[in-house]
Amino acid sequence: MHIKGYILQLLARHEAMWDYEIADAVMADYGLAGDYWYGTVRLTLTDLYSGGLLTEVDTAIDPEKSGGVERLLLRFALNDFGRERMRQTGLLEVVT
Amino acid sequence: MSDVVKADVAKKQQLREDYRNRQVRWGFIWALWCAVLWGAWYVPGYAIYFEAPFVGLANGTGELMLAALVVAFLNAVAVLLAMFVWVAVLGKTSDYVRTMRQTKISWWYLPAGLAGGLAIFGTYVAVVYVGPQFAAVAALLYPIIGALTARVWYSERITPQAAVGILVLVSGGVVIFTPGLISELTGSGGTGWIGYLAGAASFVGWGLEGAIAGRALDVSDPDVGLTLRFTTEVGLYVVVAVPITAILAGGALWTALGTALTNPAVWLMLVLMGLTFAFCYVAWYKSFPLIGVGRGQAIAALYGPFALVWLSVFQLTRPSTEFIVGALIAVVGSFILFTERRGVLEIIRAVPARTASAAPAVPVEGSGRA
Repeated sequence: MHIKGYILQLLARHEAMWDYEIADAVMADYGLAGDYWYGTVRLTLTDLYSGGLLTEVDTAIDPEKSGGVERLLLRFALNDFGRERMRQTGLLEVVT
Repeated sequence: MSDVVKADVAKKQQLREDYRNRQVRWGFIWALWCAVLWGAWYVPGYAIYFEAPFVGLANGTGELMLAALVVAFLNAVAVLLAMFVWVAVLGKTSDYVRTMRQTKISWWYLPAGLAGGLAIFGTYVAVVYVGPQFAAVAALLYPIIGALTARVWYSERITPQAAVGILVLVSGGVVIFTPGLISELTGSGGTGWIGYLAGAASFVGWGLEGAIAGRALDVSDPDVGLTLRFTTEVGLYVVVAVPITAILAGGALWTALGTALTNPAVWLMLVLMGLTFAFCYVAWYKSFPLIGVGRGQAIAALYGPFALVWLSVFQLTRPSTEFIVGALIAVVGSFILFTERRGVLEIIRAVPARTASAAPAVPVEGSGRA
């Protein structure tokens, strides 16, 4: 699965997730590491949010979770539009 | 609420505002980069016609079409090669393969490549049949098609302010090219209609490509998506356009390709075209998820003024009065777009943000690496 699809699938399995949790999961599963990939995942989440597929459900400031830097942490949930897009593109199937 | 909690809330609000402002600002920056590089692409894009074999392919409809096709084909190959380097540098080659395997996603890049490929070919045909000024003006109308399609198809937020901004910006571009346009329209002769048709193909093609790309980018990465889009364009040339041309033109096609590929000046032009066009397109695709197709395309339409700036720099000519007036109008249009309320720009779709519970949906195409 490509990384953007993987992120959507991850969010489909959870009620909501913090951006650093998503980045950690992506990097662990794809064997990636470092700030570049952490930033790439956050950028992908920004794309998904501005496209209307994700809803921002919480924010926090916790330097321990963002490499000692005071940065806004975001918690996202997949919304109905995101689910619809996933269904349309074969990333999701409804269990009946 | 205690003072500490209040300060914490205020700090979070401030950081959130900064974060979302950056998101929108980067959308506009990408679109502006697209305009700068797209304008730069016109320099080698026109200069290549002064090199063999293209400089000699000017006798009759057949030769003109052949020249346009060979240039457009070689341009697509050059851009694809530049994109392969780009995704490799970014470490996304594996993601390119993974995305290609998701056929329900990657197939969207086929119509995007077809529409965009027709637009590029249309531009080249319009240049040789009517003239570069007409080709530039015709293509400038593409944000209108892109914004309308994105609005109707997937409810992209095109507010009255955005619509006015797009129209003002496009009008500025048209003003710039008016004097050259009039002389080209009056001097295009009996085969001018081919150029007009091609000009229409360029703005409809680019407008539709943006809208289709906006849809595909919902579920795929911009760098990877663009590489897939150029993969399909090169594929369409290899499977459809080149064989048809070989049947129609016979040995002339292979002679033209052979002459082009043995001319070092053509190689230089192709390297420049590949680099400028690949990165203008990358910037274009990166802007769509952040500020929407309509706004991204409109800001990118500033390529019109930038093309003239670049051509003036390389030809050492002074910009005309129409250029200054038109460029100012275009800049006003871009400010109308940029100064929209951030609340409107934060989420580019008018979709309900309702969040259902995580169940009962489950992924079916496997998770993790594929």
